[in-house]
Amino acid sequence: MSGNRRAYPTDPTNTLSYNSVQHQQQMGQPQIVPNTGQFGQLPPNQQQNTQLPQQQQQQQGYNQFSPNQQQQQQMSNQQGGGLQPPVIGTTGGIDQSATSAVTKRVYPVDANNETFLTSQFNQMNLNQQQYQQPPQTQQQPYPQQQQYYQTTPVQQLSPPITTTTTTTTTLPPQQQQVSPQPIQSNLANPLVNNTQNLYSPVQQHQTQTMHQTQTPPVTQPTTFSPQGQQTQTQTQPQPQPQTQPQPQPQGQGQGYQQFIPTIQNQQNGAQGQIQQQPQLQGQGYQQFTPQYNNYSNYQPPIQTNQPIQSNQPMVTTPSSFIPEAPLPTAENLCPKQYMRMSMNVVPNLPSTLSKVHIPLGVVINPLADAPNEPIPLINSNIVRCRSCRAYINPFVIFTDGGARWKCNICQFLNDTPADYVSPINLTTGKRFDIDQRPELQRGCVEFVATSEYAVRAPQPPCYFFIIDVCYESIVSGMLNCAIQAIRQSLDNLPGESRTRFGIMTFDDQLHLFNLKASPSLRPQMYVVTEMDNVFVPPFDDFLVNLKDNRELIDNTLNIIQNMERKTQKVESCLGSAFKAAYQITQRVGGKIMIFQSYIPRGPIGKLPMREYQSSIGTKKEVKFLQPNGDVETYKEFALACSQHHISVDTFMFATDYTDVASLGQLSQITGGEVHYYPQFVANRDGRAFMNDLSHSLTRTTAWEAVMRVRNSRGLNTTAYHGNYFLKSSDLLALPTVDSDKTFTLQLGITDNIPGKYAALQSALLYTHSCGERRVRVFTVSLPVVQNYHDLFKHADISVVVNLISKMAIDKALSSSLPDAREAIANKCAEILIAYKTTLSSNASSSVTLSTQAPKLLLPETLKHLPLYVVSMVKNIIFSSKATSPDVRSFHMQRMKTLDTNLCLNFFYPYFYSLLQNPQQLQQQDETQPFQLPISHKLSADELSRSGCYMIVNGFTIYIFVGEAIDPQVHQDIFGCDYQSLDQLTFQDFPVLENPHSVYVRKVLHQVRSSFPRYQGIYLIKGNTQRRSEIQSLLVEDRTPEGSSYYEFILQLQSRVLQ
Amino acid sequence: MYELYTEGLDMTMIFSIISSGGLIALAVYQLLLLTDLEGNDINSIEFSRRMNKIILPEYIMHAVFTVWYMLTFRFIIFLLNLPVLVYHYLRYQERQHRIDPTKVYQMTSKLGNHLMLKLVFYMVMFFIYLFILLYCLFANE
Repeated sequence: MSGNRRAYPTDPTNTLSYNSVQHQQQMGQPQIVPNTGQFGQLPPNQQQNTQLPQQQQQQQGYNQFSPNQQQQQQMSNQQGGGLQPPVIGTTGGIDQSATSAVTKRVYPVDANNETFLTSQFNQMNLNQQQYQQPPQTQQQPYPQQQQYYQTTPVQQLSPPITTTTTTTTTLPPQQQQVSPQPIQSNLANPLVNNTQNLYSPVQQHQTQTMHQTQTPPVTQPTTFSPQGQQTQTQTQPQPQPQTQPQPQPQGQGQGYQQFIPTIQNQQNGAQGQIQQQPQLQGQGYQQFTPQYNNYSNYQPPIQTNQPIQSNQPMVTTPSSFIPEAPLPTAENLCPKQYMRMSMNVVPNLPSTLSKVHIPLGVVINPLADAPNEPIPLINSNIVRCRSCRAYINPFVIFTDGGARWKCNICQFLNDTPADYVSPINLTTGKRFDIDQRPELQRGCVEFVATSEYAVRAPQPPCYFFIIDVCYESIVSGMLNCAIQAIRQSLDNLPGESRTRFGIMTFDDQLHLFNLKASPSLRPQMYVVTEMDNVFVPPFDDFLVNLKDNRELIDNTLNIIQNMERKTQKVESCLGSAFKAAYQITQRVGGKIMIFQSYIPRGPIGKLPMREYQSSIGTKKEVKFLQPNGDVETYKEFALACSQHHISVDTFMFATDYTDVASLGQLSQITGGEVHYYPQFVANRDGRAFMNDLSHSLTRTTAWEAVMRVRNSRGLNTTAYHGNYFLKSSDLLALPTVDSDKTFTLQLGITDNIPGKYAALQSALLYTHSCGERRVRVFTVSLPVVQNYHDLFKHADISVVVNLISKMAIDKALSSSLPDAREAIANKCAEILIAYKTTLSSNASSSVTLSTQAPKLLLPETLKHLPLYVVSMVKNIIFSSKATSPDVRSFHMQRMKTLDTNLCLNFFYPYFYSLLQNPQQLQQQDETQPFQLPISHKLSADELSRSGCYMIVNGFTIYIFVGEAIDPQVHQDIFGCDYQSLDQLTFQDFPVLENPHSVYVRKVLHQVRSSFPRYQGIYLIKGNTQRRSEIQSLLVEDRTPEGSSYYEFILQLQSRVLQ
Repeated sequence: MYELYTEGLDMTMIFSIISSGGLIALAVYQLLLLTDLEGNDINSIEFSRRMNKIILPEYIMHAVFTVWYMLTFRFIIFLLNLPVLVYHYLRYQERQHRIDPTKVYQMTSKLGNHLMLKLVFYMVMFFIYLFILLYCLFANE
């Protein structure tokens, strides 16, 4: 997880509490640094996360805190005396030296944006035994969710679980924003005000809840079930210093709070009706909630108005039992690593969505590497909706005592299959066998599919290599690197003993290798010279089982590597070679890997050299980013491959123009991947290439897959982004999928969305490398809301940025690059204008970015949007800088498949200083996991002529060495003097035994291991021409490509104010 | 109104009626294919293959008759047909006449609209030709 050292600026804010500072501490964000008031200092919570990845993960999700910690936080908060204390105690265990580092800034990347989950569920997540109730500043927009969720503690055995019996429900907006928390607001609220603000709404919360619980007198509980009592005792109340100025130890205030409202209940009877509309809509729904809860364990300690008949048995029969839609919780929603929404709620009307301008979409990474979120594998029969074919999931509703179930996607009432029926536990409202059914508990499950899900026997993993052996491939060292990488990866190919392997080389002829084991252990080589009508000898022996023929394959690789090539051939017949490879692999399917050093020539698939130089920078440039319309060969190849479950990875190494846009189609349509190493030289790019190649050979891969995303009525998918082929209107054909492939869907709302929840289910049917056919099902259920406020509050900046960038790429390809840049900026302005117009009354919940732009209000969740927009516009994908269309097209194609983390990183990279002062170097504790230094803002202000810096964008590490660097330090780090440092070939720090070198190598190692792909080094010396490249990476400055971040903010403000 | 001055049986109009009948049939067929595609009855590759087979014949048939009207001084009819001719020409020029299976689903609604408009146009032209044919046939009486 690359995001582990990130701060998560949106998390605290999403809950929109009246005390966001306190929140941030709860979220494990250690430092709050005073705002210097300068522009460009984004929100002052410069944070460095010191948690281990997994811990971090859990914290984000479940907000675990020991009581001590929590108390400490509160204490320190009080001592700090306000919302913006200079530095609040570093609860996260950060080293103090980091606090005093020069410039603090927030990392805008919100890697694990748990916005919805934390705001919604951190009070409710009781299955986590370590869970500790944070102070009741959580705001819960969906009351019944909580009430429902309280049913779970019945199964809990651990004593000190803090359940949220206070059930703070939704506040009316005016109550929520009691304490304005604009990040740059200069008024440091004294604590007194703060506490006042803190507590007043809580009472109202409570009041509301009680009111709701009592609305339907008929269904009011008559039972004090033993379970209910038990939970009550388990319930450890949260600190509730309602009357005391000091924070209470947990366990006292809660009861107090529960008792108070009973009196207020009648007084504030009207309170419940001033609720926001979503609640009103759900009112009818809610009427049943109390009943439901009462069957479970929730019992307010004192029932007003209602006599407690504790000895009566429950009288409810199944017919009168009204089942509830299961509510989304952290467990039963699909984890964000796999499926992540741009907004964690859905507006109910098309007009609402079009008015907020936030793109609605979802990013799906079906095979994401998420060790923290294992996907349960289910072997039982697969239950699906008869009408919409959706898979059974935690959000379906069982009715008629479990005999039928209502699909949450299409609302169709299905009969439960006979072997799947289970009675329903009326106490919890769930099936009795829910513990044995992960598919009813988790939002991400994997079914073992039966034979009806396979059209043919599951294919073995299959790799076929096509290597260009023309002059340049050999001279640049590409052939050597490729063979080496293949040889190294052979042991780690997925598929155990089933893997198939094949290889061919080509120049103006094709060389096929018969890899069938023969006594001589020498491969037979077949040479095909007829290029316009390729004929492949009809043998199966070009694609053989890897394990059985391993020795021969090793020999073949050696032979290819060492073959003497006298003639200097430059005619690279890719088209013919590909045709031959297709004929060989089409019966099996699998993966074809192309290594190509020239623009394809030869009779099939010849690509002309397009004259792009004159049109760079004009509107015509975009023509060269699109595939060549005159050559349909590659598209036809790709379509044929897609039908035969073949996916194509393309590695390109050309020195000159190679038409990446046209060749890229092969990978785009077949779900492959493009790698491009312009002017490949083995001793510079070789390591990156070899690592990329072995990564793509050994990563988790799924074969002959199809994916479909089903959604509730009213929602529809308007566009797909990624590498896929749309077989029918919603079926993505994906010959292979792997852990790096992400699919982004743009969603639209066609119609009024009925009901309280909208659901989205993605199902990936694939062949596992082990030969099993499986279905991977992700389900999310999203609350439907009516007001704009919730939409902004639950927006997820990483997905929004991801969507905007992908939409902008489409825009660029269909129109032009300037249009795309304009569209990006417009989108940002539109969102902010929408925010201003729809939320004028709630402006106090907003943040501003700079004291110079006080009128520019942003929703807390999207406060980094302008920063990303600025960096996006200056990114190589969209920038106005003259760039070879090959490079730009490559970046565009890659961006289409990137997941949220890599995408954000690519736009706004990390920026580290590699020089540490001596005592910091000594402080490095060997036992502690190594920590990266604090990332600076990307501005030349941070750059010093005597420094050494590293910019990490997830694909390349840029190292900048200032010309005035201390010679001794330089010697320590690079092992040579500044003059003799070679920019072109520098790829790794020498191993030297001095603190500087050790530190720098640790940073490099840490940086490389935190990204899935190998990152090559690009060295920039301060006094050379390459200096301009670092300038274009410093996106917050004014560059020839665009205005500075500051200017952009001012522009935005003037636009918003118009 | 040169068109109406031809006396007796106007062979051009007879052929025109037949051809516009054919064009109507082609448009209807394309619309049916589109409906099939939207109903997921055929996949995008099959759809593109079938569409691409008939698009060019349609363009050619329409172009031949339009040019013929000009050569025979039927300028009113020629002018009526001109916009569609230009539209076809532009599509052909930009290579949009061929359906791209990878982009089919992004353009179904647009394609549907275009086809409907063309269908209406062909039908109007059909009745105009019919009117001219009958008018010329019975003009003298």
